Amino acid sequence: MSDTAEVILEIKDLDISFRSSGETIHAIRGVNMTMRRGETMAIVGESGSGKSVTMKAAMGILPDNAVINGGSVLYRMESGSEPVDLLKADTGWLRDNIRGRSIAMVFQDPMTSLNPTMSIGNQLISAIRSHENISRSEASGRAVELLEEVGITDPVRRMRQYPHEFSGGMRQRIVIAIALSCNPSLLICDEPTTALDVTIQDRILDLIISLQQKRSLSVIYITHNLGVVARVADYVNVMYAGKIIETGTIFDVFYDPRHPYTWGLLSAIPDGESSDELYSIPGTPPVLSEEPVGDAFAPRNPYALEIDFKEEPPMFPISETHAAATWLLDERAPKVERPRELNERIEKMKREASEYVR
Amino acid sequence: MKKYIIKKLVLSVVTLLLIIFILFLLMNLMPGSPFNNPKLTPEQKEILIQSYGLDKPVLQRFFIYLGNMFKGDFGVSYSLSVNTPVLTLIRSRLPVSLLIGISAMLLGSAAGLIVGFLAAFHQGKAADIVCMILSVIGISVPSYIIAIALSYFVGFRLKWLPLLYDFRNPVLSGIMPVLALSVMVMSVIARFTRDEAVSVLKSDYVMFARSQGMSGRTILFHYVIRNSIMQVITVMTLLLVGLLTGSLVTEQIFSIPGIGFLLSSAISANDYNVVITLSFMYAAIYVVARLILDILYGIIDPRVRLGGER
Repeated sequence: MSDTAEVILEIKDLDISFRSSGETIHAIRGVNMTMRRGETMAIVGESGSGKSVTMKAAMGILPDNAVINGGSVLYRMESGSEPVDLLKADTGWLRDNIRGRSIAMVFQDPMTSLNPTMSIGNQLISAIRSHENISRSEASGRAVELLEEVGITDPVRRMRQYPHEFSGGMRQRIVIAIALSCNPSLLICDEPTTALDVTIQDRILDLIISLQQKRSLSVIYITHNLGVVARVADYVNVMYAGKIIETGTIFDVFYDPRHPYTWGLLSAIPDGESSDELYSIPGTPPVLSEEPVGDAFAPRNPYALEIDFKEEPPMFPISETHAAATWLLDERAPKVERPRELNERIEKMKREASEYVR
Repeated sequence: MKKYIIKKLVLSVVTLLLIIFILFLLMNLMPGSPFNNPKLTPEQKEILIQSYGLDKPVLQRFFIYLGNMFKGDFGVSYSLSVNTPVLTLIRSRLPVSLLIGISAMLLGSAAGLIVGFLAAFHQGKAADIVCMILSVIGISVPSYIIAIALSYFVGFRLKWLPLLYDFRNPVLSGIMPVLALSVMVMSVIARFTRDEAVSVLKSDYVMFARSQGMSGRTILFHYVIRNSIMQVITVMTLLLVGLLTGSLVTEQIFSIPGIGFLLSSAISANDYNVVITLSFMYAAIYVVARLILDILYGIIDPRVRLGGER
């Protein structure tokens, strides 16, 4: 984690709607985020908060009914080069230069991410050869190396096998191998462990972490699992209803959360000790077919102020790295304390972390 | 793979035997007799029935028939063309039906696949909507209406093509029947291809392939076609059998001396052997087509061949 590294990805005022059967759903309502080379960033939020859409927009793989209303996704392909706005780039150029080659994405469900009628080897080879002008046998050699790198034993034999002959964890390793086949600099992992058994989840995370170090990748995790975030990320962006509502380093967000939604998320992590019923945030996220009035989280927010129902809060800076969009941070707002249970939790997390370091 | 093919082969043979048995029983239940000539006295009919062995019990006749069948003897015609071997009757009529049926199949399939994939790749856009409206029309309008329309406009008014089928000029006179039959094939296949391809295009693995920057060509051939073609081929098999059996009206409109025509006359004349042989032939075509299909499944989809999950 260093602030001196150059910015690799900068998303500015991204605004996206979906049209479906006459309705317009305003899924992304002005997203801003910055990421430096080599960092690990997590985007956290409930389903439908717009986590995946943001990253799919960057790669130009949004579904046909998506409309980009505005904003820019500035991406710096090589260090020192000028950033390119991916939203303005031509599809053919994106395909040849960005997708797979510079930014790659690992999807949630390894059971459905691989082509069922093509052998693993051929899928790797065609991924490699779609960006590099090399012979089949050369590509095949590279494919074997990649499989070895992601921890598939006996790769030469397994090249000939089909996806259904592998377990979920193995398939996710293969998906990762394909994603890394053309040496991208940015890897986006969209819920990479959600569909896997708990015991396998850790191993996949370990694999991504080790590959990241070896290949000096920048990684973006899209997840709703704060446990994953705590393990892997340097920076966290919390998304709610198509906006980022809190951003900061992992220490900012986990030890000093300021947005009541982040409080709710942190309170909802099972800690494996307290026998009390697990906390859940009341209510459901808004359907964005209508523009929310005021703060989109206000109806579910026990700490909501009057102004929350009238006007959307801006991002209030808290420190150089930390900011949150809640009126509670306005100087005129009444002093609101974090729930006591959450503070206890945070203290416990800090204690555990310091023990871990020692 | 070998075990898989053998299993499918045995199943096919058993299916065919069952089909003959059921056909035989059904024929036995049919009212009337092949000997309906009003000039025949009851005594004469009795003699005819005895001479053809029709007085014996059904099971006994079934086994006699089966035995003869294995020797390649499918019996003789009782009423349509007395004492002519059934095979001779069929042999003279089959080629023209096959020729027209298969031509219509090839033309319809090729056009259907192209239209279907085109529509899928332009899902929701004008091209898709136009293709799908046309295919709904093609599916709902029976082929004989198209046959009549064609023969009226192209044959009678414009006089571009001969009105009736002429075996001395099979190409020109065959165009209209082939066209009439292929419209339905094309529409059905276009519809299926489009729906299958659209669901494949929406799948996670296509999304992943796109996110890896694979070219449209790779995605079309290795992803979309490979994963949608089996369902389409299944539909094609059903259509092919339908085309050979159901072209009866079209054969009559263009007066084509084919087997559809033969079957309808044989049924009304109670010509048992002709009906059984023809029905059996249709069943056999279907079973063989299914067998080829199953083997193809095994080749295209590794999950079938290896008996894997999903």
